[in-house]
Amino acid sequence: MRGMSESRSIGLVIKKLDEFSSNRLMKLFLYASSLIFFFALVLLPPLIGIIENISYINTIIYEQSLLSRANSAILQSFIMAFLVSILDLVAALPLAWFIARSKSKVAHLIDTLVDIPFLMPTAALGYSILLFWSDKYGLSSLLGVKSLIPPGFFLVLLLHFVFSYPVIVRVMVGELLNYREIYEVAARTLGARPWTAVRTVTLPLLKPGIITSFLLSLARSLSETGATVMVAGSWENGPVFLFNLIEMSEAEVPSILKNGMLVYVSSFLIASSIAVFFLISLLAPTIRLPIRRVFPSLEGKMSSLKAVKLRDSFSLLILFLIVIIPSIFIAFPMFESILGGALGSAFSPFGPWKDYWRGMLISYGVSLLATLLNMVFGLPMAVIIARRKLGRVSTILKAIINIPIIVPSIALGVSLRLFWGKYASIPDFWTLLSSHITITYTYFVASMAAAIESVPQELEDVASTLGARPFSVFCRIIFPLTRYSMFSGAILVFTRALAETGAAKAVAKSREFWTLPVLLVNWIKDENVPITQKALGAGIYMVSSFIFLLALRLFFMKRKE
Amino acid sequence: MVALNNVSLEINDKEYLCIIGPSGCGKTTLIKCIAGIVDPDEGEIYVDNKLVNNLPIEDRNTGYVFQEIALFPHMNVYDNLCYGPFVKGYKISSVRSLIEEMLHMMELYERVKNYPDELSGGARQKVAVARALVSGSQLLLLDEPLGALDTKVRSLLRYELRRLVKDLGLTAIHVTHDQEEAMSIADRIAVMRSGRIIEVGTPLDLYLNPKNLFTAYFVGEANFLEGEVIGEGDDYTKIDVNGYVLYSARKVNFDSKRVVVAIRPEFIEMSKKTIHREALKGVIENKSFLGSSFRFEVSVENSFVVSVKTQFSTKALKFDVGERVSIFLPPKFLLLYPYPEEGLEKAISIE
Amino acid sequence: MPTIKLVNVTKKYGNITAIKNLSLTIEDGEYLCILGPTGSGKTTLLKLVAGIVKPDKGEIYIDDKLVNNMPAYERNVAYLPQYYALFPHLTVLENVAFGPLSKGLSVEEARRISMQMLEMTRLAWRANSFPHELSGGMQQRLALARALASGAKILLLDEPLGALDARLRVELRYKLRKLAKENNLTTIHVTHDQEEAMIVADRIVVLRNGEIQQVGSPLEVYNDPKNIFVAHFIGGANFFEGFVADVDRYGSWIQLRNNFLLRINDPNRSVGERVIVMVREEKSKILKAKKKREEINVFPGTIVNTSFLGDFISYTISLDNGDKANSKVPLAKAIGKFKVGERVYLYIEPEDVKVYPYPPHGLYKEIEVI
Repeated sequence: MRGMSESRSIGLVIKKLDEFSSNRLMKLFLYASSLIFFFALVLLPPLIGIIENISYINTIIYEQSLLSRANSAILQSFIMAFLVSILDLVAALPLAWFIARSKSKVAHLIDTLVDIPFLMPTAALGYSILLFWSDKYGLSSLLGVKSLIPPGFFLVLLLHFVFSYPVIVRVMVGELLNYREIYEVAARTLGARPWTAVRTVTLPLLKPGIITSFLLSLARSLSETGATVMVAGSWENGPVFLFNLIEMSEAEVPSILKNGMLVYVSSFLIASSIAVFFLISLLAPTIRLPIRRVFPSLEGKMSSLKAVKLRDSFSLLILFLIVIIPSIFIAFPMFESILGGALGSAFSPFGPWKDYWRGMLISYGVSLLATLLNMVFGLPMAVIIARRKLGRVSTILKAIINIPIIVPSIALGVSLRLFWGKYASIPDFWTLLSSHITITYTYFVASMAAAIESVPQELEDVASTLGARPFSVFCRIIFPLTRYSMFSGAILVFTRALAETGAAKAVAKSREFWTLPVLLVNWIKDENVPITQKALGAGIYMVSSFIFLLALRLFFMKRKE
Repeated sequence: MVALNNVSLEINDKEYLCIIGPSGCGKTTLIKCIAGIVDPDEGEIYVDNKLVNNLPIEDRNTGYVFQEIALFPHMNVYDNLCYGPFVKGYKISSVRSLIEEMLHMMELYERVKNYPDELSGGARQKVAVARALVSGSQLLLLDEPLGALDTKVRSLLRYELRRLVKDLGLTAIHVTHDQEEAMSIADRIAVMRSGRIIEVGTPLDLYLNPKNLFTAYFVGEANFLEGEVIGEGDDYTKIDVNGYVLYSARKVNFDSKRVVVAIRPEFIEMSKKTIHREALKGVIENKSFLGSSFRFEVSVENSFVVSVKTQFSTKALKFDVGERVSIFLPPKFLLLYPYPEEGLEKAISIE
Repeated sequence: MPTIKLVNVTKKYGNITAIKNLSLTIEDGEYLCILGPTGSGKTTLLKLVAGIVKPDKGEIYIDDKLVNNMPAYERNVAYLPQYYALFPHLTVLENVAFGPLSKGLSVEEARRISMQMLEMTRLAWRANSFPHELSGGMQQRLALARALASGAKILLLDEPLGALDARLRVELRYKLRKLAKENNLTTIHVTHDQEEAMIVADRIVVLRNGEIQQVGSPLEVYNDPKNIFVAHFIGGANFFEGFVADVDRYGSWIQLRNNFLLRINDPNRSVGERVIVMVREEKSKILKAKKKREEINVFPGTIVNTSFLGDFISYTISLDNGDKANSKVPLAKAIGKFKVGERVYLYIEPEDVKVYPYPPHGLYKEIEVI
């Protein structure tokens, strides 16, 4: 009777809250505060920040060269995002298929490996890929060339391919596991070859999942800043351009012009990405793939065991060669520098490492705070959305909570910097926190809302007819059934916040407020910093986040038992 | 887990065969093996005297109707019907007349442009059957085809199913857990339990002369009483049940003296007066109305309870709860089985 | 003493009216069945009583107290949804104890009551299992135990046997009624199975499109259906179209298709009236040959189908006027007697005929359930 003793130990508190929960005013207060939090802190500041300062744009119309550089950067953003998402979809679908359908133990292992690039802080990931493909330390030395793939478009393509890949695999494995295979079996009893059945039945039915994963991949590619800056070379997309612009000194570009340019590019990026996302999510579901013809013998051959084996080997090859190995390559220089005795210097209280540890403190502090605030204020919002507490308003909310993740984070950062900047009394730390809250809000609310939606309404109904008040229903039914999603949502928020570079860079007015990823990007771009220091810095960052995540997971898993 | 245990069964051309049994008895696995959706670990499956074990699903040419119905949600009724010929690479014009005929037979004409989620449960089921038939199959496999429907719809559609199969000269294997459905439409019924086929026969055979205790229980309602054989004559057997003597017109063809006596409730005669020398006396404990008949529970001198069914009549209306009655169990309807080793309750348990 | 009263209750979902101006009183200790096809509003009716949905119009009283604004957790009404909604993360015992604990009982007391309920439903030995480890029948018993443990005196059952195998369903319906009666519960049981309804119910409410068609004891509803829909939905029935040809002091003559004349015992019809006549299948008798005694209401035809129903055999007769009729004959009287293709007579006693005015949208529309 675990449930019983638990409820006795905190019985009194629950009883009080329980009585409160049936009070209409309490309910109103709870929902209202979460709505206010969303609008006043998450959604409106970045939008207002940009709109208020839109007039800055007037200053740049005569700066033709800078303007055309900005325009081309924005265009490159979308080219890169679409290209990467399509390539990822093509490469990740067969692997997702393999993971979802194969009954072998290998599939389970692969399933775990796929997450590696997702769990790594993007700055560390970017450096690892830079070393592997481009630096003389990596593959290039093996092949005896100076730089196999120099920083630029192709290296960015590889990087974005790697960090979007796990997202697509994860979403599509979930979709495939939920998909009722019976449709495919039905198609085959009607005479369809396996490949034909997949093409004419399974893929059209999986379309919503494909669109979702495509959009997620698009969003990540449009938004990623830190790692992209490291591998971009002279190539620029929107975020890289903004990053470079912020770096420029007063001598290179006067601040009035700089502000104008920042506002221009940010507003353009924000507006166009919102437009693109809503267009795709509205139009894509109505597109029907033409299924005009079938080719029984050809499609029969494509369904043969040999063809399937070939496809599986090919997708595994891509997984290891392009995704996994380049991602974990950073371990080599890291261990090398540890063995070389560089670890000692890392703990000296002077020099560059002093900044490093301060950055780490800021990063963890901001991420933890952002996670906590989002959990507290996001939970009622998730309930509002999942249980349609506000009818049609809930549907609208469900759509607009996505805005923070589809907008490039550095553009959000620029906007927030302008918004909070006008209040002199607001401490910089608050601006930093606010930006991290905004960019991670969606992750928690969306995953929680999905989890709550998956709990049948009937369980709540029955619980209430058995005499349980709303708060008690939440504690004893909803919470235990969604606990795992709540923790994984929180962890997602935390890792995102910890890895965020773009927004952090944009809001940090001085080096004192550099978060760890911002500092690392700076180190890695600086040619005077030795490779041992770079690798160790990225390595400690990565290892600390792994340990932290592992500790959290162990803690929560134990609670779950 | 063994879903199917060494099953042998022969189905004739143009036969309507029902497979019945409780959940988890392996009946669905059996037809999935025939369709090729599940591969048997051992044994052979022949269709038209051709071994089909190694044929993939799409080459078996069986029309399969799923319990979940499984119409393609992204296609309208017409496209669902065309799917079979289409994926085989046939020209749609060559099957148009067949599709038209199906639509006509199933009264689905007005629905061709509808999507599955716009149809009622019954209409969806009809489309699923039509889709399986348009693919040109002569063997129809039906997996609980009516399970998802309302009782009334179910009882109407089952006759349409049989009519269709017979009109088109098809062979059908229909899996169901509803024994009434099976009895009303099947030429033959196979009763399954724990992965084995325990009895095959015509509905009437299984109802009147079930060879197996479980069949007697699962097909139609029956009273079961434990007793002991105390004498045998030329054409009767004398059984002692809790001190009451019953006669059966059946001979004991097994060793055990301990027996289970079974009788259908509607074969028991009931009256207010003593109708027969061998009649038992009892009290009506419960009465329920079934529409065309009444069902009573009669407690015989506090020693056992039997259920009795009588036709709807003014006479039946007058029997009331608490009333003393006399009941007679006609010997020709008294079935005899050896007492099962695992006990009566276990032997007829379906869970 | 729980009585339930609904007065002019209406419930809409968007454009769809699930319950239309419905009034109904359920007596204390009564076992009431709500019977109707899918989409007739049965489940909504239960949810209204449970307090899970609120009526748009009308009043709901429990024990003469208006409960429109009383939340579900204060109503003390036990609700069993169709697939039971057992709490998947709680053990069998914890599921049952949920109600007592919610009502503020001590842990010891909750455990005592729960174990008692589990014993009654023969589940005590599975107290520490989880719901998904139980068979379908056990899950159903657990749902009942949980409902009873909450101490509610009103039991709302939504298709409580629907998820079970047909054979088990037949067995459990007797037990369900016994359980409700032994615990003095007022029960509302929703089902689409007319046989189930007739066996368990004290009274049956036939529902269609959110409106009550008829309320009555199983016998009343079966023998005296108020309209064509009820006649069709409950039990097997033959319908014939015709019009009133003549009326005399003792009854009327109905002219069926192709001048077949049917005598009925109802003198209160008007000549020329278009009607539908209904005869139950078991009252539609089948004769090998005409006998003196039955000179009227005897119609020639051919047997086109036989179907075995267990205790009955059903014969489909294609009458010579083009109508079709089913005749249900008790097994003992039917074995080996009639064959498909055989010429026979259908005989209907005048007193067994029910007459209904011809429905405005035709017969088919009225009995359409598919």
